[in-house]
Amino acid sequence: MKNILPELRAAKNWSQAELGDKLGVSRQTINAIEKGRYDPSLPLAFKIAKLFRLPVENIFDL
Amino acid sequence: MKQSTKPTESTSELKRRNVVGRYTVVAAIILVAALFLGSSPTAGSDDGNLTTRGIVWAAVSLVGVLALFWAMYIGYRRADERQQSMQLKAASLSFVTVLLGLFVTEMLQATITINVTAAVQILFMGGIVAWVGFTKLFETRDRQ
Repeated sequence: MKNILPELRAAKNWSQAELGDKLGVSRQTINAIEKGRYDPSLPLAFKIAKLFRLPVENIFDL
Repeated sequence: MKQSTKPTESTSELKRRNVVGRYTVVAAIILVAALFLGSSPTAGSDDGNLTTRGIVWAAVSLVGVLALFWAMYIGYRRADERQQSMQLKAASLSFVTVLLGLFVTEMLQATITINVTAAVQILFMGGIVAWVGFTKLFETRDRQ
């Protein structure tokens, strides 16, 4: 699943570890989501959307 | 050159690693103590009956194994959703590995006499090594 997480994270000047901290997941999980190797669960996707104050469909795209 | 002060790992992951590390060290110490106590419940007995030392050995071994499983359980409980799915995949693969090992042990026992106690101990340790190994394999594959 494609996503704009790297761009959103870069705009906030957060590292993957810092974003992982805010979402309660590991840095590797953030890395896997950003690279499209792992599709987050709905609760995690909504958590990401809430954190960046964007609709979930604006962040993730098939 | 200015060094980056950004953390390289999330706090939840660091906490998880610390807790798992602590429990694993405790389990390892208990299991090493069990190793020094002997190798069977009847160790040191001439007539093959249980000895006090044997009972202590069995109790210490059991506590050590339980501590090891507790460490693995805590590692699973504190893992995030991606790590949990990897650990479950690794656990199912290692379960199949142990089942195959048990089948081979049973076949060997039926044809030639083998030391079943040693085989079960190898299977137990092999199962844990397989679980940890498969998890590491999935993590490594995920990083590429």
